[in-house]
Amino acid sequence: MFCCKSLTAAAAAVAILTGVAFFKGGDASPTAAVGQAAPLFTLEDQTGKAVSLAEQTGKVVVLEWFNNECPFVQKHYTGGDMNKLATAYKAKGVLWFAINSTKNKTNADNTAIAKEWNIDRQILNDSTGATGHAYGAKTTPTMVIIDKSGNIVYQGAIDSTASADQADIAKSENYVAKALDEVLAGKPVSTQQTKSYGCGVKYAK
Amino acid sequence: MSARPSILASLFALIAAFAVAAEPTTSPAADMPSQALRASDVSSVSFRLAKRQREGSSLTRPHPEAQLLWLLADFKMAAGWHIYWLNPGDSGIPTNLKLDLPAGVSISPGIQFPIPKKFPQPGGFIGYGYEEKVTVAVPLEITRGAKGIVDVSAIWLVCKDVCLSGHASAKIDLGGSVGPVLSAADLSLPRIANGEMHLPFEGATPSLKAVDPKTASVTLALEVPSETTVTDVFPLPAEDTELTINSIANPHAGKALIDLTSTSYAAPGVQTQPSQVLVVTHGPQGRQAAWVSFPSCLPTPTTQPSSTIPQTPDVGR
Repeated sequence: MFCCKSLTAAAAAVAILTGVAFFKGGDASPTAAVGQAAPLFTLEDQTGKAVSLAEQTGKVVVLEWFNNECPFVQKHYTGGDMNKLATAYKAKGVLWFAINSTKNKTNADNTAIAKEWNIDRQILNDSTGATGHAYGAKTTPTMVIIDKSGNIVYQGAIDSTASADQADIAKSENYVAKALDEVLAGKPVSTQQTKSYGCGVKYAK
Repeated sequence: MSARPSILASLFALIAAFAVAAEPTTSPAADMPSQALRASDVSSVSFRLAKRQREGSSLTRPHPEAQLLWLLADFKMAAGWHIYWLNPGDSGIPTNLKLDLPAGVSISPGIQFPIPKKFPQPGGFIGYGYEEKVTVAVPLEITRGAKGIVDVSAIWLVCKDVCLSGHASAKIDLGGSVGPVLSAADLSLPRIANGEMHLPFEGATPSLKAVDPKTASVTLALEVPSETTVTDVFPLPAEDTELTINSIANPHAGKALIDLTSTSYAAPGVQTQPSQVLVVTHGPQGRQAAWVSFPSCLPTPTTQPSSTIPQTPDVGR
């Protein structure tokens, strides 16, 4: 179960307006850890719609830290690999959110890149960086998988090859696909944590 | 960003001694015109050969009849931009050289990186790398008068407000122009490739204490000359391991203590490789550095600490 399920509408509104995410006990320091409850957040997607993690209970959720200006993110988009992966697991009931913690990014920016890169899922605006910091996201991409009970079961890199070369994708082990397959099969995740690679998240501070 | 990419491109084209071809990225940068900024606009690399001073410890001593050369990769970055060390820190990727060598030519003892700088990154994170310029040195050992062409390629990430992926390659004729003799010290390389390994400290005794099954608190006790202090430490964790430097202390003359935390991401039962730190000292002989290796996780009977390692890690690791 996700913590703090009883976020009030007013609190959620404040969260959106201020860009400040709500976490367990209201603590904004990094709390994300494998095996523990995922820090809650409420962020706007590119259309302005509020997305609350607390409302996703019972779903497997993937969080993907995203910055279209990062060559490591581009690596997974230029050939359509990230979209294919997300689409494949969306068909299996997985919710997949991209999160853009880049400073000064707007919903309009996220709308534009979603159109340009054929991204049909929600890109959440975390330009304040509060949610990124809560999850300790250091790089783009950083991947987090949350199980149906709201606990983090994977945190780290998308795959095993730390490069910006798209040609490396085919020969890499995709940690996210592997972990999702295990989660959906009701098995424990065998690789729970890896070191993420990529550009530093361009936080506001 | 104040620099105009066209001006920078011209500048770096003039600087590069060999043909380089940085690959463009496919996406616009934050505050530049769409698709205007390329790695080659803000960084470059050129390659050259130089004679290499015959030096080495019993662990790295070259073959007495071998010809020794440096293949040097000179990276230059525009103001405010940086590239990364062997361990990039919290983000980025290591600068990488890949070489295809003719028969009779080998790399020994390993690709050498100068002491890096530590720079803050957004979000309170730390990066390790180089600003302005750096020369990465490849020590070549040539036996039996081998000749031929070395194919070298460089891959790097150059970052400021955005990151750009760079790539360059060149063919170096071993029978071509060779610069004057350079020692490892001339190239500001850590002592692993330098002289007879007169290390600034006599030993590194690691003490590991388990915090939990995946985390160990590590203390490295170094014996250093009385007027020498440890001023900095750069971590190079083994694969699936994260190292955090907690503190560096010089409690009294001749003693230094490095406290760090080692966290393993390896699956249960998988033995992690040793980690290393590059220890930087300051003393009568100036600023020096040497590698120290230690177990990444809890010590086992087969994993013994060593005060030095025979060669720097493979950059392509």
